Amino acid sequence: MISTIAFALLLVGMAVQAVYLFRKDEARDPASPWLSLAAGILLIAEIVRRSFEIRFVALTSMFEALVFMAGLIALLVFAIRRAARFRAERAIAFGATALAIVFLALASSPLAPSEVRPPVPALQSGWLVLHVSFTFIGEVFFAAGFVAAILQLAAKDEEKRRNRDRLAYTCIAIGYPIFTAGALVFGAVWAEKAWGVWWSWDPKETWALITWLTYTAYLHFRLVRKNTSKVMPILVIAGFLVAMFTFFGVNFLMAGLHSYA
Amino acid sequence: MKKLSDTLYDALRSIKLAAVLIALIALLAVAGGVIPQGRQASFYAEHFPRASAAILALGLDKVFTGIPFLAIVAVFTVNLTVCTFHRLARELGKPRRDRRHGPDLLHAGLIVFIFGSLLTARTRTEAIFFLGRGDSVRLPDGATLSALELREERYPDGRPKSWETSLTIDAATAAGRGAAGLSPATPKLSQGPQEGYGEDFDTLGEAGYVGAATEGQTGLPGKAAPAAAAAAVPAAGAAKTGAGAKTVRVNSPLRYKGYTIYQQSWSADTRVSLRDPAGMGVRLERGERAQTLGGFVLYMAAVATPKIETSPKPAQAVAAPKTAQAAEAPEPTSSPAPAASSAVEHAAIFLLAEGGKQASVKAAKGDKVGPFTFEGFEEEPLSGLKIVRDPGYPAVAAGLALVVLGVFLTYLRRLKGMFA
Repeated sequence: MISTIAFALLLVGMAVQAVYLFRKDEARDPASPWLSLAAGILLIAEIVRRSFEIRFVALTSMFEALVFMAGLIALLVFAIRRAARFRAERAIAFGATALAIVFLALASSPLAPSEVRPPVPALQSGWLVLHVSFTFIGEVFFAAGFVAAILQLAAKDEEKRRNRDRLAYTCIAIGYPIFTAGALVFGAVWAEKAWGVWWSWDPKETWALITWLTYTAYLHFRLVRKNTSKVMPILVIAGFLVAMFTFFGVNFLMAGLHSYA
Repeated sequence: MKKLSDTLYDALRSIKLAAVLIALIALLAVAGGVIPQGRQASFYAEHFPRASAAILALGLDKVFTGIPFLAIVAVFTVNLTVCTFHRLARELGKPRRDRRHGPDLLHAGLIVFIFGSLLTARTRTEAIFFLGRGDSVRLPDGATLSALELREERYPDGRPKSWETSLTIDAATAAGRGAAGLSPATPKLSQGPQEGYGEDFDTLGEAGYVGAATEGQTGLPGKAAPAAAAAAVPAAGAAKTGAGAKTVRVNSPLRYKGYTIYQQSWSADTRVSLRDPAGMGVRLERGERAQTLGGFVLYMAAVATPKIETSPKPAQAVAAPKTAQAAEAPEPTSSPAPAASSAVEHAAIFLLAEGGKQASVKAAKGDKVGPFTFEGFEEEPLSGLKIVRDPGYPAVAAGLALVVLGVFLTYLRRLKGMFA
């Protein structure tokens, strides 16, 4: 029910954003940032409610992961709209809101059963909570970077292109350390505690490493070529697509230690 | 003109080289992520009929242990090391307030991590074994590991909630390990580059041990050790090691002298319970036999048969006997047997040998099997434990800690930039 209300708020917010997207003036849309904020708070509240129900941090199923990420994206949309530097980027807020709606739509699909289930023994670990929460927070920044990179490629005037490149870089530079800590470091520590092996080339691990390497390559290429060629946004887009494959594709196509994730 | 050494140095510390190497590692990882690793040739022939020859010829079935991948990682490590020293020297030449050591910590962490990874790949060993209540195994240093109590909790939907095993370690037996090498058994530690790979593992177990388990197999607990002997362990263990019983749970392993003992899985040993004419109880595991005057009774299998309803009452649920193999999987995906087996009952199949003739006999609870009466099934919980020795992990953990510290110090300032 809470998720449905949040979904409706995001839909209304996106409709408002769409109206302002096609306006030629610089008028700011006063409603959608607050709608995003409300939706984000509601979605995080849903995770908190489920956590109380199972007496553990409810980040152990596909449904919970999607709701958590949609909530964080909504909060990030609010933050981007409030940030002085990126306030004018209406298209990025629109694109990120659309992404949050897609995540919520997937959460309501049969792919992600919404029943509340307490975790099996392997998942009952503080390291797991750190692992998944940091990973998802990092991926939310990658999502915003992904939208900025697509719009960067589509931008026709130089100022917009540069502004979107700056936003994409900022998002990756914030998401990268969080993702590194969550997906790779906390994941390895948890795996050592739970299974006695900190790395096993499980498909999920391998694809998380590929995601990390893609963004590492982006950050290094950017140091070499500060003049922002088209390779940069393409790498950002590729990184997010790989991250999403790691999240969805590996779950549904490849069996491994993360089969329950 | 630039010296050759300077040219080489510049090339090795080049960030362009780093970017290219990272891209190459990523590409090889994609190959390793798409193509299942470490399978038999027949698997590739079946699943990749057109590309199987190329996969095997290019070593794409073992990407992460192949020479191309390791060579690129080696060059990357050299690049990282040279770059780190070059950068560090440059930073130390700056005024203190202008220095930024985040990338140095990150790079140093990666170097330590790679060193730890190599150590793990070369030296890590493990074994998996099952212990019932009172069972013991001998650890590689000769000490005796005994299971005192086993506790399993399940959620109402049948999924596991917790697995706990209370263990004691009697170090006193370590001194006499050579002489006492017959009982209980020692799990044989095996090395493998990746858990779950179907490669041939080099056995590193020490000579003189009674090997029981190898990688991916279920070892036998020390059945030869009587429960009474194990029961004597706690006091001796507590006195000699200064530690009493320790409980291992999933995510909460027991560390002991460089070894780590993990609660890995849970299982059950199903036995049939028979009673002889004198009223004595006999328990048989699958494949075990009990001697009779004219032959023997051998327990072969349990079978489920549809239960025929004779009254309007709903059928009573009958607990299905579990097998070790079925319960070995850590995350069961379905409800337990009782809910699903309300319309079936379980019977045991025996091989009965009498007077030189043999016949298979299907028996329900209360039926006669030769001179015995079949009294039903009994289950003994078995705790699936894993013992691991990984000398590389401390370096890996230190490297990862440096990586986290370095990566946050490097990029934290971007957070300020977000809202500037």
